[in-house]
Amino acid sequence: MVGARCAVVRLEARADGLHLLAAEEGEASDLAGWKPLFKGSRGVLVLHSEERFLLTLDKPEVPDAELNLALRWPMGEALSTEPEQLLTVALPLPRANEAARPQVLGVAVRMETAQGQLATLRQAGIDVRSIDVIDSALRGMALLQDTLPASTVAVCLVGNHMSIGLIQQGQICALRSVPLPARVGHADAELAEQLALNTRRTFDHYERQAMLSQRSGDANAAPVAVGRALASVASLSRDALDTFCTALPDLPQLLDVAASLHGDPAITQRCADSEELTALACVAAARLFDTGPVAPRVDLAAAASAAAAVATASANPAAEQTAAPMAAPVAVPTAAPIVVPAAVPAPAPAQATAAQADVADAWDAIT
Amino acid sequence: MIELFDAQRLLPQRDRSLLLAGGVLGVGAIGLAVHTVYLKQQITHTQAEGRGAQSELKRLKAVAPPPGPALLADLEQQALRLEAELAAAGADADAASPKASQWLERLDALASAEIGLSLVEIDRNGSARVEGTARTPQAVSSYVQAWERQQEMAPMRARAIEVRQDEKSAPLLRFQLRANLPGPRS
Repeated sequence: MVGARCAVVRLEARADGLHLLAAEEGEASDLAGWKPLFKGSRGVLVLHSEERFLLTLDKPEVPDAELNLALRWPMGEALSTEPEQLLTVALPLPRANEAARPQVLGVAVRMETAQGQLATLRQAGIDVRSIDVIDSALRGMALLQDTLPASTVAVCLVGNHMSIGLIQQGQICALRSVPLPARVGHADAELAEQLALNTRRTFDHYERQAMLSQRSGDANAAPVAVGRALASVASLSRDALDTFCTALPDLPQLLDVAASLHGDPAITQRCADSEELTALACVAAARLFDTGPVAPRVDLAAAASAAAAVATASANPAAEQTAAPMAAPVAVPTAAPIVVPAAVPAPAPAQATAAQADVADAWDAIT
Repeated sequence: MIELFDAQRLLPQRDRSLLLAGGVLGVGAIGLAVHTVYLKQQITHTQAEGRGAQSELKRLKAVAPPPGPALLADLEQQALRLEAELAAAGADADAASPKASQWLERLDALASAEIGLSLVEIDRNGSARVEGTARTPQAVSSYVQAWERQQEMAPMRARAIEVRQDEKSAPLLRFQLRANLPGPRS
């Protein structure tokens, strides 16, 4: 992995919110120099989109404790890999579509990938005990907002991959990962068009699920209401951003790292300018919210009641307003440095096109 | 939260056998030390008991009365009785065994031109071993028969006769005869 690009952020939860203490990009040789950043923190290795696999499938009929293990076989079959060579985790998905059986989102990574990156970190004297994927940034983006609808479509652009997910009550409700054409500079109109097209399609799909769940009257089906999109597309040029925004029904809310995180302006600006650092900071934020040292800025309990109100009585401004107050943050100093040891090089245009074709086929299948 | 880290599969498995062996060795050493201390305590205790017994013996010796005339008289009678029994037993043994003169007489009677004796061994139990050379097997047979015919002189039965011919003594035959006194001693 020597020569591969790496990035690290250190986020700390304090009484007044989340503080961004460090945001660095470099190569594998820089990892040893970043070791002090991990002192007194829980390190998390975050894998790129190219290094993990997503699959939505029917929930195996096993106890919840064995769900992660049981996913190895269907995912191994789908990836033509031995089940023992996979690390898998299952995210239960709410019944927000017409599927007869409950579904789970399977996330898998090859053992050799994880072992290789952990070994690289270990050689640099960094010992991490957590592995996450870049898609968790979508949750962090949602949880960092002051005001947010109960459900939102979050879009995160990192490199040539777009993660787009439906976040409901702070949890991933649906997730797609779309490879995009290789960018030439930051003014690539084709990229913006692809980004807007996939976001628009995902919007439509999620809204269709919302209508289906309301028509079916299934008591177990979670209500789906798609609010405004939340996007982290820092590297898009002004023109590309305009193209992207105009393709959506409403203007998307753009993630403002500097407003969401405290810290040195130079560090937060560096983070805001980099898609990768922004995504890492969001993953770290989601982790800090999950592990409890700090509460999300959105009151999820109120958001849940708002979600119910939206489903039964359309958009109720009063109910949405209850989602606005901030919960009191807990003053537990905890930091979560995140490191991405290897940025996978951008695929060749031909590969990207082929990958897009695959995604388009899959998309047709689910819609 | 997505957590893909599996400690059981991703953390290097440490070989604990060396640690276990060290632990066993340590426990063994501690056990041995404890046992050694226990043994030392036991030895010290036994030595103290020995010293106590010796001092007790000395004390008893100091305070014990000298043996009385009745005890001495009894011991003397016991000694005389044992001596008499030993003397009687010795007389019986002498009577049963041939005397030296009788042995010489017997060997003289057995002398033959065909036989040459090289060893005559007689022990206190009455066992005899005779070795020699013979010109012919018939000479050995005649010698044994003659030995048997001397029962009236001193009953002693031949119990093993060995005849062989080796290169050193050829053409003579080497023979060996073993005999015991009859009765309980045979």
